[in-house]
Amino acid sequence: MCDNAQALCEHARQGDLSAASELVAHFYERIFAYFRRLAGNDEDAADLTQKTFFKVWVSLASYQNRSSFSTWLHGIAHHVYVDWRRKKNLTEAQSDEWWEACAAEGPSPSEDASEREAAKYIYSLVERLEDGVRQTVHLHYYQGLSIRETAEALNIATSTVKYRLREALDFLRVKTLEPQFRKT
Amino acid sequence: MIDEKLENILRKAPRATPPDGLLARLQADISLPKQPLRSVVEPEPAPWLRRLLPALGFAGCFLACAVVFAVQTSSLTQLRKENESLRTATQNLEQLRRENGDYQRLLAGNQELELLRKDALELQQLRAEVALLRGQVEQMAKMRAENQQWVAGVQPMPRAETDQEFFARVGDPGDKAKRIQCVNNLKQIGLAARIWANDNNDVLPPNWLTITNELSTPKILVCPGDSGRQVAPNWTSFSAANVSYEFLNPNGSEAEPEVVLTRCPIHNNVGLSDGSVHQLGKNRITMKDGKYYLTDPSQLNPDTQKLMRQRYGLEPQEAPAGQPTNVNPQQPPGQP
Repeated sequence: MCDNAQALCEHARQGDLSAASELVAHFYERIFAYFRRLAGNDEDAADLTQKTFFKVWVSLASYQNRSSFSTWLHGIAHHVYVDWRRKKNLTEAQSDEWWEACAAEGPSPSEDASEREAAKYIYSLVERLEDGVRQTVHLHYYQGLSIRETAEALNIATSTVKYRLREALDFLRVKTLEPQFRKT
Repeated sequence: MIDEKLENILRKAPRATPPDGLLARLQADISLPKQPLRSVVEPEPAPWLRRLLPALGFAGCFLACAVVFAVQTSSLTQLRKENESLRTATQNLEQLRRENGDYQRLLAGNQELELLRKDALELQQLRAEVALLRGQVEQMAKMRAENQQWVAGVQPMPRAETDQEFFARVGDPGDKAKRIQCVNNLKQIGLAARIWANDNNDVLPPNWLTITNELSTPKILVCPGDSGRQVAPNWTSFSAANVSYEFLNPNGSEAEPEVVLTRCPIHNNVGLSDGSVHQLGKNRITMKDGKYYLTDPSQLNPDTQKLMRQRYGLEPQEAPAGQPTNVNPQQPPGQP
């Protein structure tokens, strides 16, 4: 898939509209899901997705194949989200209620109800993380980027990515073991 | 274990479904660049010099390094050659030193040999001389024996001459020296008188005091054989007691060189006006016109001889009319 995306990107750079459409069809769901988790509503997520792909077409000439297209695309999405947050002056993460609602709307990966509850709780804990750590968790776990791709998308070192993931897991482990949190 | 579980849950996070029409909108918004990417992205080709500048720089550096390396290699090779030559020279030096040592030893041996040769030659010469002397000694012994035979057969040996007899025959060497010194004094006096005459219209000095400037010292006015007179320490204390000689031609003319100027009564030395000095010997002093002349006795005038006899007290004096005024026999000798 990666090679296919690279080839489509190359064709799009040559001006092939069908290749560009195929790229959009292939990546727009992941990008929308990324923004949907971060922004908290469909409208903002759709706008951010459109902005992201607009920037992709503008910056397609500067893409030099130093990273995969997916990484490059997520890097643009990350910057778009940061700009959006700055413009809206959002400093706090989305509320637990939203995440619970968001999680309830999506398809469940697990059939077990208790596990679904635990996952919901963990997802809500992720939104409580510090912004950098949260971005790292989103890209690595939710979007499925590798550590190296996450580091390239966030423009940080891989060691920083590892540190942030470790920090997030420690936080989640501690929080999941605390009974009062489980009750709440 | 918990971390793995957490990671699994996180990886299985729910994915939101995009709204309907989003894909169509996104595809409709696609605006790809119209110009070919390569023409936009690629800049104009740089001038050839700019493109080749890195290569030229590298080539220059490489060339400079190669030159430096070559120079260093050359100098290293040269140094190695010099080192080799110095090593060989050092080896030759050692060999030369050894040869020089051998030469010095040979030279010393040769010198010793030369000395030995000289010694041997001298030894041979000495042996020859010894042989010659031995022959002469033998010959002398033979001659002595023959002489003794002759003496024994003919006459006794004559008596050896004593020192007194020898000096009586030859004369006292001290007297001879004094006589010579006296002659020398008279010569110096004559020379001083002539110098004075040259400065005074060829007229000889009237007395001793007038030629003190020409005489070097009062010592020459005393005859070494005259033990009764003392030498004046200087001309200021000079007197008649410090003169041994007679001044016989006062105010005389230098044009008459044969006139006697001075006379030593001890050695009978006579100085003439021309500066010459004579020993009387067989000659006699004769007086003529008030002047004294040195003449042969065979040619002496009887009158002159008589006058001389009278002067020296050998005959009684008369009072003739032509007696010289400047000769006073009573006057002590040397009175100016």
